[in-house]
Amino acid sequence: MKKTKKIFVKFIMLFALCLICGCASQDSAKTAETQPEYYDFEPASDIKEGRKNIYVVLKVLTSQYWQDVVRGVSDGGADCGCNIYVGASVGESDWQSQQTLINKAVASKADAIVLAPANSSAASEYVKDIHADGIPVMLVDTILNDTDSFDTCYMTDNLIAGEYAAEEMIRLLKEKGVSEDEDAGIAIQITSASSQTVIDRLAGFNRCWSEKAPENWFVLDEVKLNNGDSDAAKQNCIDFLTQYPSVKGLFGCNNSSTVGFVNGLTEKGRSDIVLVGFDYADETAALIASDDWSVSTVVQNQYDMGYNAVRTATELFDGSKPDYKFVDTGAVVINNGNYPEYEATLNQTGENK
Amino acid sequence: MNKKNSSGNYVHLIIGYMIFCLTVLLIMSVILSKIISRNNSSQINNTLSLVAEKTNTSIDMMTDYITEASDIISAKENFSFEESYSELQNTLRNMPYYSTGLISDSGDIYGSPGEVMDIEKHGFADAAASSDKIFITEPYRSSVTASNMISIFAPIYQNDKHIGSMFVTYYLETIQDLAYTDSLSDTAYVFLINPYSGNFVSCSYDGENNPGTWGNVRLIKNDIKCMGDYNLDTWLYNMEQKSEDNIINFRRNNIAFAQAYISINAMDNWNLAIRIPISELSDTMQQYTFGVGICAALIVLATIFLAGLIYAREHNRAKLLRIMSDIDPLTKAINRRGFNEALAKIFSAKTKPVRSTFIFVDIDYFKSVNDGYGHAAGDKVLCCVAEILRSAFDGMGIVARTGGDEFNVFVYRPLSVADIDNIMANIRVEFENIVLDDGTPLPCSFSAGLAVYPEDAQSKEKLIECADKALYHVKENGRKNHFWYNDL
Repeated sequence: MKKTKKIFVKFIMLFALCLICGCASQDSAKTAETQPEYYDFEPASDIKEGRKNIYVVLKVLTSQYWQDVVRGVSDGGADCGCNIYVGASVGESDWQSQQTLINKAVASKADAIVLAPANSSAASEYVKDIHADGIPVMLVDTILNDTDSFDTCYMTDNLIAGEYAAEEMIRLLKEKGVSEDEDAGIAIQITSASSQTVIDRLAGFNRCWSEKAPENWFVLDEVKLNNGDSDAAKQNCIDFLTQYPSVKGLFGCNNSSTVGFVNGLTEKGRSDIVLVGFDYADETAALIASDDWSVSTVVQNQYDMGYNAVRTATELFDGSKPDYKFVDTGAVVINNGNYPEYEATLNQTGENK
Repeated sequence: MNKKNSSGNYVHLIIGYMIFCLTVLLIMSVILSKIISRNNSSQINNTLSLVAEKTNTSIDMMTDYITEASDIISAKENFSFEESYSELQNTLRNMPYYSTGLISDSGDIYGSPGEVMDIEKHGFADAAASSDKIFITEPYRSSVTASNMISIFAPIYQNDKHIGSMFVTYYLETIQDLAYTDSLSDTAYVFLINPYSGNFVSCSYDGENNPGTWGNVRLIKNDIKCMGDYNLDTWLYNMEQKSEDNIINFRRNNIAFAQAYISINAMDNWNLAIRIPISELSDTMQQYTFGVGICAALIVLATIFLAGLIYAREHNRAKLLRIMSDIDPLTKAINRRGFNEALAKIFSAKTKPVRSTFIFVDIDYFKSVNDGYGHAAGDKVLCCVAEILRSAFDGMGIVARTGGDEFNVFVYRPLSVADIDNIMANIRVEFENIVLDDGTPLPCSFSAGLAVYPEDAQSKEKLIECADKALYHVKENGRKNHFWYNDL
């Protein structure tokens, strides 16, 4: 276990070095040539002869979220006695780079591939062929649209996670003293209307809201987009508060939307407004921890996705068939009440950033 | 004036006829357009309703089957969940659904580990325990297949007591299969929609969403341009009210769509919706409309062409008649009527004539020509006189034969007295050189009275009167001369 940790720390340091080099070269000459095309495979566990080799192909490694997944696969490799190699695309939707990495993994005679597909449709046919050649494929974070030719998918059921957010919103509004007879509007902000993850969360939120919220509490028709721009996200928050005086609650469907709401509320000092968001960031944590604010966030178990994918791969090596093809790794609502309980875990990867 | 009126009326008649034709065509087009629109709407309505009803009926058949199966289980004596579950698994191979199982009200779930996980995760067990009627779940991603599925739950009774439920699980695409029609196979997009949450779930692929993809109307509202007052909110409201006014027409990405919903009996708050491009439904009618438009355009063009042709022919004929009635057949000079009309036109114009001269010309002793040489010789003299006057005033005046041996000339060019005196002298020479057809010389002379506009008179009538007085003066003083009124 100690060795595993050492390797993991080495991996992270190497990764950090790559980032620093990347940043430095970006500063010196802001050209596309200095950007790596993709993050090539690096060991994320002890590498020993005679062990099964699992190649993990992820998306952007620069975020805390994906570092958690790396930590999961690394620990999974250590616990299950496998060699783990991690590579990733630079962009969230860069399927071409992932394709290159998968080709490398196949050429390296991968015993299994763990994949977080950057494009659910484009990857389907490709993965289908690899799986047909007898290579076990485990999906994490995102499922494929057009094929069931994979062994297991570990991801958050975002519809259910969206429902958690709606339930938390109702709870916080009631806690805040908003009467059920009072007109209370909920404003929603998303990063992109084409992200299925975000759409599922929004659908789950609305599903729960239409069933459980008091009749006078309503979701605004207008959903604002921020395209991942933090300034736009903050401005959206301010605009909502100005344009819709009846707004009592805000729902951010992803990290940038949630942080935008946090910054907007902080700037305007509107602690009377309830916020429920997604994912974890320092700005969000500060308001969750404060008794003056009513802020909660839904976080995913991305560590479990990585860990369980590796574990399932080793079960397949042993000849057992997984009971489940799709596993919801679940989500947890972090609020002022339970924050101390989760604070250490949530900040663990933050220290590794 | 009558001729003019007649011609004007004819033109008005033609224009009136054309306006009438166009009005009729316009009215026809409007009526036809309404009929086509109504027919389109009706056709779309019927097609969508048929597809939606077909699908819903198939869903009803699915639920009916499960109701029957649960009734059979309910009717069993010595019922046990284990035994019934085993029997259900044995029949599974021949069934259209993916899996089946049982739930007891005490919470025991008889199914695969994945099914147990899904039922617990989505709270289906509680819903089944509290429901005394069959129901269909919302689509969910199955732990067993990783695909989007729906489950149907039917209650099981023993001695009229609710003891559990039977469930069957279908792939979500089954609904798309139920909605399949040969003619609309690639164009009908089928989805489930809940008006209360605004959520919808694709049951088929629409070019961007796969079966099982969730969406929300709030995210697509801005992309939809509704046709008319019936907007998306109205459509959703009608859905909540279960109204039969269930079709919305809109454009999205520049494609016109018709979309209808029909409520699903066993799926509370959820509706089956079908969206079809209007072009797929109304191609025939569009072609018909296009054909009618072409025909109408051809009719209009033909009408204009024929009207023009008729008008041109009539115009030429009228012109000929007019010429015939205004021209003296013997001398080919215009007659009194034509001359009067010409003068009337000149003097009634907004722009008054410039300095003009009116000349009365009378052949001296013309009666003696007729008596001495015969009427043929008299006619010849008249023709010669007309020709002499025409040549003399060519391009400068109008020559008319206004009586037996009487000619009038209206010189509309502003010639001086001296110029006209010269012309008159030349004419006089010409008169003296008249020769009959047989070569016999027949010298003639003339008397003429001249008056000038506007010096002598400011009106046509007065001008003629002045010239007449001057002529009278010549005749009184031995003829064979011309005299200006101004010199009287």
